[in-house]
Amino acid sequence: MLEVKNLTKSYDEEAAVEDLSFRVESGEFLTLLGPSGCGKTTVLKTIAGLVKPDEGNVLLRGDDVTETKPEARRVGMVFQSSSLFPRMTVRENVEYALKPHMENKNRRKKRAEEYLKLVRMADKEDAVPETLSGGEARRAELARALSYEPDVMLLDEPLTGLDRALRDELKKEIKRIHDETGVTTVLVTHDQEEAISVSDRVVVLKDGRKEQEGTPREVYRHPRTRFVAEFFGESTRFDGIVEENGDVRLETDAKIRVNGRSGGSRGDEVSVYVRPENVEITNEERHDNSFKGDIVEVTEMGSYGEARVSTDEGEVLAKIGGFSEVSEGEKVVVGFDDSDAVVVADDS
Amino acid sequence: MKTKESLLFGVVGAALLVYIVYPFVAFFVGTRGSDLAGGLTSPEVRDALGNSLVTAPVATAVATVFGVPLAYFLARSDFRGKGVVEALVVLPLVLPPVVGGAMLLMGFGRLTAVGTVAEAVGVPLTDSLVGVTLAQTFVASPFVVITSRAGFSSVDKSLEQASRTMGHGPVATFWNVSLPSARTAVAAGIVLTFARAVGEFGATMMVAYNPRTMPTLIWVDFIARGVDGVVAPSLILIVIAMGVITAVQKLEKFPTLRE
Repeated sequence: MLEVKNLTKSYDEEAAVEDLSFRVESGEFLTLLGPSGCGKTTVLKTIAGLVKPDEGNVLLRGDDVTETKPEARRVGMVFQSSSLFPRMTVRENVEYALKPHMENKNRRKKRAEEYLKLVRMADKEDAVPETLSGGEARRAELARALSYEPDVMLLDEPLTGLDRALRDELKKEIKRIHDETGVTTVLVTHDQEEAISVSDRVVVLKDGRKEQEGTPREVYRHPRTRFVAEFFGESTRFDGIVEENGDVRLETDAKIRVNGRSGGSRGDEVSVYVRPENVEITNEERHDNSFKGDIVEVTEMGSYGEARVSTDEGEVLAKIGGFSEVSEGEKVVVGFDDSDAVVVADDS
Repeated sequence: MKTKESLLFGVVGAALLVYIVYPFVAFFVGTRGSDLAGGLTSPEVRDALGNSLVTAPVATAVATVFGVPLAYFLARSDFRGKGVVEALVVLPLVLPPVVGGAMLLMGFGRLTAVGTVAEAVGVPLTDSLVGVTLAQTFVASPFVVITSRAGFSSVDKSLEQASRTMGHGPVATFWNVSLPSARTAVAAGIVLTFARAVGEFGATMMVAYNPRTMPTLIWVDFIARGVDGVVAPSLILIVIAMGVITAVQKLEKFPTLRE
């Protein structure tokens, strides 16, 4: 449905996007994930035709639209800042979006009502934008961008600036609306939780370049670079050198067994990452990798908690049950299996 | 800031306010005895008022029709030499109007190529209502351009971008999104341009001393009869000015400190 090929764009000689390529299949939900300033919004605006790339192409439905004006592309876009037209009511906003696509005024009205119902804003259709809450404004914008049934829906940080409860609610709504309409969607965000919970596939960006691409599960479980491992979820990192048998020897001479899937060959400097949920706190050495240490901090999150354990090999982060019995200062053993140790080459 | 805390500033500022109000008071006190009714109904005043109320709206319309697109262009584009264009736009505002008038004469006067051709086809560019309008447009147009430009600059670009992605072209987007969003600023600019055009004297006097507009009439009456002779036409211009200020305040663009 959508293909971005070798996209490059610089602002004042500074590269915003560099040689970026990815595809989005029909009906797919793809997320571009990266820290702020990594060029995500530029990519989205290039797809919409609002930014002209220095190099590269954008293909929609197989047609090269790189030179096509935004009004001829049939994309829907929800912007980072609220972009409802202030002098129109919610329904007029949607009707205005429908105008180039539908001659008949009554049909426009009907369609607008239909989509406002989809986003659960039917009772607010006569409201003016300034009276809407942040969440309502987002819903109205979603309805407006979806109403003319675009080929691709572009969402630029749609949840930024909303409080946590609203963000969680709207996240589910976006997923539901995507499932109901089946519209091909590209979401841009810096929030990895958001990316994990809504997308079919994730493209992780760093400084305008693609770091990794895959399902949220693949990227989370098998980060291929240090950046991805550290940006996409929390983990503990051990630095060491690959041994002959594939194990990783740390500076302390301790070894980490990594299931023979070491990311480097013998003598390479690598980092080993372990997710906190794969680390168990016990009182005996029962895992492939076990280290003795002291609990230095326990952070409760409610349904779960996190413990930081100081070992000779460094500080290890472990996920624990909510309000569990461990306490700060306690002497424990932290352990994890070789299959949960992800090795990333140092030069990445 | 509470009123009490800002009192000091108010006291200092009051000096200027007194200075502004004093001439008004003096004017109204000094004119009590003059023949106001006779002045207001004299044929000279009627003619001058008619001329002013024909030329100023035309000048305002011309400045608006060309100035609003220019303002939008300046607000939305970036190009080499933009600073020069911006300086040119403001130039008539900072230039002494008499100098502007002199320049207009050199460009459109009777003896110039443009002036000769225009006169030949029956549209003299000097000493005519067209000449008055030329002078007014030159001097007053910066108001609508500068004010509208500020208005367009404060319109969130994503509103326009949203409109484009929906399938509306740049012109439809301008009419439906940009202009309505900046309408108070544009309207304020139009009103201020009109006010400046109505009061224009320096450039008008150079380009078209005749036919008389209100300001030129005031000058002529002052030379002939002294300050007593200008009461009636002055009063009319004061009323028009009051109307303008009311209009601008209604548009909520005038600084009324209503936070």
